[in-house]
Amino acid sequence: MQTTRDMGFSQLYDDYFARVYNYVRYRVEDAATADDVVSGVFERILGKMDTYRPERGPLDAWVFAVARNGVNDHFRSRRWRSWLPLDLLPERASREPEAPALLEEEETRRALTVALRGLDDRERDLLGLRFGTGISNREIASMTGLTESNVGVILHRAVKRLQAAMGGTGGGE
Amino acid sequence: MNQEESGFEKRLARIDFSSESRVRESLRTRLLGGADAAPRSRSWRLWAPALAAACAVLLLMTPALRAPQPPAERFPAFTPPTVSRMPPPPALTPATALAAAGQDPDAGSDVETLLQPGRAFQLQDLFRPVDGGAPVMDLPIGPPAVTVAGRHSSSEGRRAVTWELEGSTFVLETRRTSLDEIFQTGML
Repeated sequence: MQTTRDMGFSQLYDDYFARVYNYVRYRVEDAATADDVVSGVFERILGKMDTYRPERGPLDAWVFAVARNGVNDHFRSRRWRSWLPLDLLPERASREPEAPALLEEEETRRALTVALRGLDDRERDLLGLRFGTGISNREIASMTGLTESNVGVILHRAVKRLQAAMGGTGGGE
Repeated sequence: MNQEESGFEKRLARIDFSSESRVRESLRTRLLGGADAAPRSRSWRLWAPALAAACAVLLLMTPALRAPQPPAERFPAFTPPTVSRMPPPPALTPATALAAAGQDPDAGSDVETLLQPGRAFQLQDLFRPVDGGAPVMDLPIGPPAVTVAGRHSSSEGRRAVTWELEGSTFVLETRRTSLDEIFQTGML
């Protein structure tokens, strides 16, 4: 089995960036925050690459466990940083105009972002792991300490609520 | 699970937020170029506000503790503005502009000046040598820190400075105590 050292951080970054970002985005409120959290996650992965042991579990589980911890740390540290007034924070880069073909995709992402606000953090956590990273219910159960059937039930209910909240935007194929 | 739900799940799985990221390439470049600096910058971001607060505490407490004055003068009563009500801090003036105005550019790097309440500064400016030049610690440029004025108070045998932030209050207190009291209050 390949280790992170064998793959090299560059390869790992390219393979996992989108999935880690998607997971984080399910849990935090906006893209700018997701950028901050994901930066911290990959810094941590880079610093801990040598501690990964393939015999203890698949790389997927290790990477997404680091991502989960990164999000949890973000929520814990938010209290400390909340006293900085917003006008001191650097301005975010303004968004470039989107091509018409991308508008529908963006609309779907926006609808999902709004719908996620109606769910609790555990539901967003499981949805992010299932649909943001693509790992199985069994792997999610192993990471979260829930039973596989419990994961399935929570996901089923959360998906139904998301579907109801997103209405036609996220509906059928 | 019905077909409609299954279709919705497939659609969820296809949604890719990563195109929203503004740091994907720059982060890749930074991490692959500076493996040693990366972990430090993350941890620094977490404890930098605490360090800035500690520096402010030292600066504000020192004159009050060293210079004996009548209580009324030493602890003038005033209500500090909370962070949310404070006016935006002035931007740091570039050294060239200060020189053009006939001011000493190095005066702006003085720690006491930097930590004036309401003034924004970069943390690495705290570590700049007195005679100017590059900071002795290479810290990442991040959101500026800002010093908040504390409210001094005193009563018999007790002096305190209170900082009121948005949603939080911090108190630094000097008073006579005893080992019994320390252990009773569960400090350990």
